[in-house]
Amino acid sequence: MARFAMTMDTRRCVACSDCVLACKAENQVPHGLARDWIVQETGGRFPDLWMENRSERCNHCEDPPCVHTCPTGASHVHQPGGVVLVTPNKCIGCKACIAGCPYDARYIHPEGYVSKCTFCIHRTESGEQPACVSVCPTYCLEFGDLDDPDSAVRRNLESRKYKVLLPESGTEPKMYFLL
Amino acid sequence: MEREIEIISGRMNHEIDPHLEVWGWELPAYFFLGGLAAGILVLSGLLLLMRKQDRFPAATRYAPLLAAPALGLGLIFLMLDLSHIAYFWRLMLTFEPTSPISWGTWLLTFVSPAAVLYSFLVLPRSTFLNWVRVPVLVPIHDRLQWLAQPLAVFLVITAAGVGVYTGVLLSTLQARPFWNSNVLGALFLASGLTAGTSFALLIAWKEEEQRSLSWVLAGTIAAELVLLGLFVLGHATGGAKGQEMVHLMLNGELAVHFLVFDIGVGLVAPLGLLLVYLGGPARFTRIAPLLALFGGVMLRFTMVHGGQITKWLPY
Repeated sequence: MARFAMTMDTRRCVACSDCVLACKAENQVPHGLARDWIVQETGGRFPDLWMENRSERCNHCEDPPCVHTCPTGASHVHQPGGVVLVTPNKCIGCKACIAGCPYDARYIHPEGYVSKCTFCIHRTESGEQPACVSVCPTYCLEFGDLDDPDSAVRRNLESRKYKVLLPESGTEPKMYFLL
Repeated sequence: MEREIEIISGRMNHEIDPHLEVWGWELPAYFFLGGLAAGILVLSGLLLLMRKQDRFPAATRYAPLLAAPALGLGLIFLMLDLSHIAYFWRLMLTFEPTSPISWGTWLLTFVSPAAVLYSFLVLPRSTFLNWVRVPVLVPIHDRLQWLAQPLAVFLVITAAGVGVYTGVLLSTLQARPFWNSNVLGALFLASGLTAGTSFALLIAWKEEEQRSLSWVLAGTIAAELVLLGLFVLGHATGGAKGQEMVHLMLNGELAVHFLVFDIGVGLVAPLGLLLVYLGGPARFTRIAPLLALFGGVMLRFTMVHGGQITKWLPY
């Protein structure tokens, strides 16, 4: 069974925010809200500095706390692909999933239900790439099936060092940051 | 090494950033009312099963009258908190075993009607003749008396579940370091028992019951203090993030709420007043239970707010 994941090359990202805008346009994300975002982390002391750009979104965890805490099954793992989704007409807006997500990747849609990144499931199920991946000018984002040895994400993870956010939380995120 | 993190585009999501504000006053108010109802029902049920209803008429027979209205009002607050309220009925179509809210929903579904029936059955027979003057209820009351004891057993267990689950709900949300504690379930149950006993003490009119309930209340407050101590200790031994939580409670944003209102005014002051009264020199007053009820409200607000302002990621 497919396990969709995304890799993000921190060495290629220039923090242009194209992925953010593409997501907003593709998914009609309401004004003032975002399903993905850019984090710029800098460290060191001038002139010895380092910097890391990250395009972040829902990590579509293998063991998602948001799904475990949902009282109605609105938050669920969609198969095939293992993508974490929310069914709006099952969501009661209790917000337990928001409090349960260590990445703060969810928000309340103005219509009341909880919303988040879907890995553009409406595109990927028909063979297209997620909107953020398709517009990235530096090709730093790759999307694919972890179980497919020929997929770009699998090859990236086999050939590059990488990290995930908050590995100690035990959620097994499927958003990998290449170092 | 100095580090700086900046979100340069995209995320300033309403009620998410810079920290969670998804739960306002409604949820802690519901937590308090649920705990109060749970405390009342557990106390009354235990006293009935021990056949102490004549010695504790306020706690056993009259206090349960507040349980169902408290649960009802709490449920209204809970509904007000839902941002997609038109779909609340979805809760009743499923049982999600890993979700404390789902457990709570089904517990309340059974506890609420049981509390209404129980509060009717434990009232003295004379109530329907002399107070409310509905004599037609007397034969129904008499005929259903056999149900009082089984209902008491049922309610002691399920109402304790209502008291515990709100704390468990928070402690399962591991994404918020402040709630990372296994004692929250027991703490919320102890706080519910404190609130329930306080209410019974407020309406108690017999001196013997006032004195005995004062001992019970002193015990539940002492238990709460021990559990709060374990809560702090658990964080203090829990690594850097735990230390941060201790700082938050003892010296940071939550210090006034936690030390002054939750512990000082809400627990230590009423415990002191009770001990002075039980020690002999003072007359009984209703200040101690009122302070304890205030402390119960404040504790829920501190806990719900405290979790929402903490997170693992630095942004």
